[in-house]
Formats: sequence, structure tokens, C-alpha cells
Amino acid sequence: MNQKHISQICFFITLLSLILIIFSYKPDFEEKTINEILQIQNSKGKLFGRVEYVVKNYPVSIFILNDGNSATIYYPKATTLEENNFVTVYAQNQGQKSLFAQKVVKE
Amino acid sequence: MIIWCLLGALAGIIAGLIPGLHSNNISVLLALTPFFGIEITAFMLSMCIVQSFVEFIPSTFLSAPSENTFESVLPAHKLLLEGKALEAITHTIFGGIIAVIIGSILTIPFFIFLEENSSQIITLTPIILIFALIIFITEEKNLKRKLIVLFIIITCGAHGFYFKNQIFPLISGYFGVAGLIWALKEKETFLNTKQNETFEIKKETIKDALVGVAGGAIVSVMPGIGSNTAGGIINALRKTTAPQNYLTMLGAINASNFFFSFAMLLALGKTRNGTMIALQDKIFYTPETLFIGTLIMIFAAGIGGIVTLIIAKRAVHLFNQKNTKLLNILCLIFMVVLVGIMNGLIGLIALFFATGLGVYTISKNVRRSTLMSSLIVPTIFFYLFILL
Repeated sequence: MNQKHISQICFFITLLSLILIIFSYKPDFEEKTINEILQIQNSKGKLFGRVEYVVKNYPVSIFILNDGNSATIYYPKATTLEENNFVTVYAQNQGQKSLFAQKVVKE
Repeated sequence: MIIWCLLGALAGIIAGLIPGLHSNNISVLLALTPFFGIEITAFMLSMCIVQSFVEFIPSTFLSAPSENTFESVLPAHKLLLEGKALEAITHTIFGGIIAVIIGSILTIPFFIFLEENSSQIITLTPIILIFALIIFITEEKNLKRKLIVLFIIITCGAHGFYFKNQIFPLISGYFGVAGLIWALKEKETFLNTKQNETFEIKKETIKDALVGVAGGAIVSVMPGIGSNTAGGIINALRKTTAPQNYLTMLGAINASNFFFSFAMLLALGKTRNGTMIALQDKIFYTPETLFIGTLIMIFAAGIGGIVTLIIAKRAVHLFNQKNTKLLNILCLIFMVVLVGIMNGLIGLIALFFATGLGVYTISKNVRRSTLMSSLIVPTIFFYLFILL
């Protein structure tokens, strides 16, 4: 075996993994509204809205998000969110009362 | 996402080619950006994997080690002088490719093992490290040589404590500059690297690659043990192995370390790998992330292998027919300047002491893995303080 064979193996691996990535990759979070996520259990979405009320910031964050409709968001980390902040929330409907946030970004 | 993979691969090439620049440095900067999710995961994983392949090029041609490749400097430089630089690098690539393939198969058993044994791992770490030091000493034939090794271990340990955060100057001194100074004593030759040499991948090589994969898994879970320490310990436990096989093993350890660290991050939510720590708050902990992350790493390994071979061939053209003595002097100057730029005066002082001990080790014909005691001894003390 020489460099040429190793190159061929590398090329094959690159091509195969590229094809698998292209066919299997779906964006984790697409832009959605609170209503759309609440309708289907386990659905995920990227929400944009205004923080209506902050229940707590520490050690976990719970707040109410409004994008025309309202929902309680549970985020398992501390934040510095305040009322009327605009945020992007990467949320998931896990069948609980509140939506579970994977990530919250202050805009 | 493919664009992010390719950008990551580019960053990995740059980080791999510049000794002293590590993907961890780039990751820390990226952690400060607002990017996150699969894009940043793609970038960081590609960068790490590609770097783990490319960084063997400066180790081989310039004797300039990185934190992950310093154990490779001696066997790779030896092969370079024998005109087998391409063979040396191809073996590290082979090890890396095997690691990524086997790693992708072993992810699930690895998860289960981690969940069941995570607490025992911390207790085992200092025991394994002490065992490695005992092996370094007991391997020597007579009392005089055992005392020499003990002296080297104690001095290295002192270096490790005194020159904290000066890993690059220390490893450059022990494994790079010391070897180059020693090589200046040898008579002038001209590099004549064969371009299309055919060589066999033997059963033994594949076995060493598999040992390397196991080593990479250990590195990813055992705090304080780096790729090179694992390589050195495995090397100390085994009888002599061909330099090609040793390089295959290091290539496998290096690549599988990143692979298993990512698996560990997703399984336990924590990791000891610098890049993965930067990634910690940037990823979504979902099965999809694990699946796509695995594919990204396989994709990056393929790119890393191809790119490394292309650059290595260019390097052969660049260095061929060059006077080895002149090349060694240039490498020496390059490394001293690099340490000065990266680590300043304290780095140069560390380099001076490390070089002295490195030259002493070579002159006494002691196994150079012993010099890793500068990492091993402080780690043992760290764990003994935690456990006792």
C-alpha cells in the first residue's frame, strides 16, 4: 500500500460521508411561531419575540415569550433577561406546560 | 453546513502547519462569537480533525512538535533522514483513518462504558501514571541507569511544576531542539526522499492502529493524560516497535481523542478536551447532533488525509536535496524564534532548561518518553491531592 491507496481511501470516505450528510441533514430549528410548535408534540422551532414577563433568572430561567401568542419558556441556565427584551429562542415542545429552550439569544 | 466544514478544515490546516498554534486557541475565539448550533459544531469538529492529521507535517520536516505530536518527532525525523518522510506521514494518516472508522462503530459501547464507570476513571488515573513512571525506571538494566532515569524523572517533574503553562517550550526543548543539536554532531548528508515509494501495511501496523484507538479513548476520558503521554505509556509497556507502527499508533490516538471527546461531551455533558469545552455551550444535545457530528468528523478525516498528503509532497519538493545540517540549523533557529514569539522570555528560559535535559537524555541513551514526566508528575500530584 502506498500514498496513492491512502489517498483513494480518503477520497472514498470524503465522498461517502458528504453524500450521507447531504441526505440526512435537516436543520435543527426552522423559523416557526409559538402556535405552530404548541400544536405538535416534540416539534422544534426558532421563535422570535418579546419577553413579556420574567418569572426567574437564576439558577434556571423561566419567562413568558410573546410573538403574537404567549408561551412559558423553560431554559435550564441562568440568564440576565428582563421584560421587553427581544429574544430568539430555540425551543422544543416536550409535552410539558412550558416549552423547553435549548438556547436563548438576546437580540 | 458544508461551507462551515470546509472553513473549519482550512482553519485546521493553518493550525496544524503553525507549530504552537492549537485549535484550542481558535476555539476560544469562536466561543466568543454569536454563532452556534450545527454550523459551529461543523467548523470546530472539522478544524480539530484536520489539524490532527496536518500537524504531523511540521513534526516530520521541521522537528517542530505540537502538544499532540511531540512523541512523533524522533521516529518521524529518523524516517525523514532515511528518505522515508512520506512513508512516515502516510502511516500517521493511516492511523487517523482507522481511528475514525473504528471510532464511529464504537461510539455506543463507549457511551455505555462511560456511564457505568465514570467515577472509577478518576481513581485509576494516578495509578496508571505512577505505574508508567515505575516502568520507565524498571526497564533499565542496571542500578546506574535506573538512577539516571530517576534523576530525569525528578528534574522533569520540577520543570513541570516550575514552568506551568509553558508546555510548548518544554516539549520543543525536550523533543525538538535537543534532537536537532544532537544531530549537528553528525556528518552532512542530503535529503533524498522517495516520492512514490510503495510500502506494506502489515498486520502489526493495523494492530498498532487499533491500540491507538484504545489509547485515544483513554485520553478522552482520563484527565491529565494527553495523546503523547498515552503513546509513551503504551510504548513503555510494549517491546520495541517499528517507527512506522509507532507513528500509526500516534496518528490513531490523536484522531480518536477528538472523536471520543465529542462522544463524551454528548453522553455526559462534560469533556476534558479544550475545543470541546469551547463547544459545550454552543451545541444542541440531541441524537441528531451526534449523528451529524460523526459524519462531519469522517468527512473531515478524509479531507485531512488528502490535504496532508498533498502538503507533504510539496514539503518533500521543498526540502529534497537540501543539506541536512543546514536544514537542522534553520529548524533550530525557527523553533527558538517561535518560542520567543509565543511564550516570551520565560518560554526561552524553559526552552533552555528543557533542551539541556533533552540533550542529556539522548547522550545517556535513555528512552525519550521519560521526558514526559514533566506532564505526568504534576498530574499525579494533582490527583493525589484530590483523592487523599
